[in-house]
Amino acid sequence: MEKLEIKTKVLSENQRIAEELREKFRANGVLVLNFISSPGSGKTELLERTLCALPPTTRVAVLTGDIQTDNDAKRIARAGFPVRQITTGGTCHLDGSMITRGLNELGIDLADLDVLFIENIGNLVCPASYDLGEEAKIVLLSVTEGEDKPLKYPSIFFKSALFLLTKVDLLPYVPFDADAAEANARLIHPAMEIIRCSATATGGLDQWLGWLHAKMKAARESALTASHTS
Amino acid sequence: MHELSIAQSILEIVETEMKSRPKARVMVVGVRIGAMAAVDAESLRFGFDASVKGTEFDGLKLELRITEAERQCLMCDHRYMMLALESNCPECGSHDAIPLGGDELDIEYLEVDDGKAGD
Repeated sequence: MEKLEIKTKVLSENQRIAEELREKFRANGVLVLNFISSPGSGKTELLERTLCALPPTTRVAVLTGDIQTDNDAKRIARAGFPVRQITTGGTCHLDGSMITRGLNELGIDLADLDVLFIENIGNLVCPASYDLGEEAKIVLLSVTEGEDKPLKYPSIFFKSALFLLTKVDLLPYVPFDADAAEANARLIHPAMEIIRCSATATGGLDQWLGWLHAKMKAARESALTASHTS
Repeated sequence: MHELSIAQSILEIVETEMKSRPKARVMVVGVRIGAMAAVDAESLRFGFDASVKGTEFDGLKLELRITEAERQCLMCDHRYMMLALESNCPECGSHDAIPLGGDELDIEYLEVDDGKAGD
């Protein structure tokens, strides 16, 4: 018997596709965000309201993943934005090749885009393992869930840059300890950014929109710097 | 459960590795799972055994090594393993830290029987 040392990432093929995508996104200054949460935390609602709140000049597209139905794509399309539904037919996560296909189907030139939102399958576990070439993963947790979810599903909190605590307008009516939820997330990821938001309350998305604008600006500027130095 | 997809990715890599050794038979594949990789060991074993059954890899053994997440303290630079979710720096007690790893999902080794006598 011979032992062969090999150091290969199990998901190296997905990683290769994701790195290729990331390179293209960055070269074109497109900010790509991968939204992950349990079913029902408010990903689609947040996206709809965010799309409507963006300046009309913002060039934005959406890829939305579900196991079945194109209901979410229909919701987002009503707001008039280019959207493509990725229906996985049973698979519990999106992977890099699905993003490549989704972009082809959208038929948009990346040079004509400022921001791409990817709404992952409602699942706090499996999407954590798959890089989609995004600039950041964003995890959503709503106040109607448990504040210990960051401890129960640590990987996604470990890997996400931003934690959006959603539906905070319901805090007066539910026994949810928002400070404990944030402390739990920081146990897993001390440097995590956390924003409390509400898609339905007046001004409830302001802080999130501020974060988004800052990231879009950074993506644009770093693409410009790269094109000037190359 | 994405462990079935992961089991299949492992087998694809094993298949590629073994192409250069057509006469050898792979007996064991060793995989490292970081504590933050979001991969459940038992589900992976189940998916792996189901995936090899009745194929050229029938009987291939999966050896798993689960490793903790390493962190570096932002206060005193001490590097330590995050053994429990609540772990603070064992040197200075600070909670502020940056992750140095934890999401590994790597094939580390293969054990192959190349049919040579004396092995």
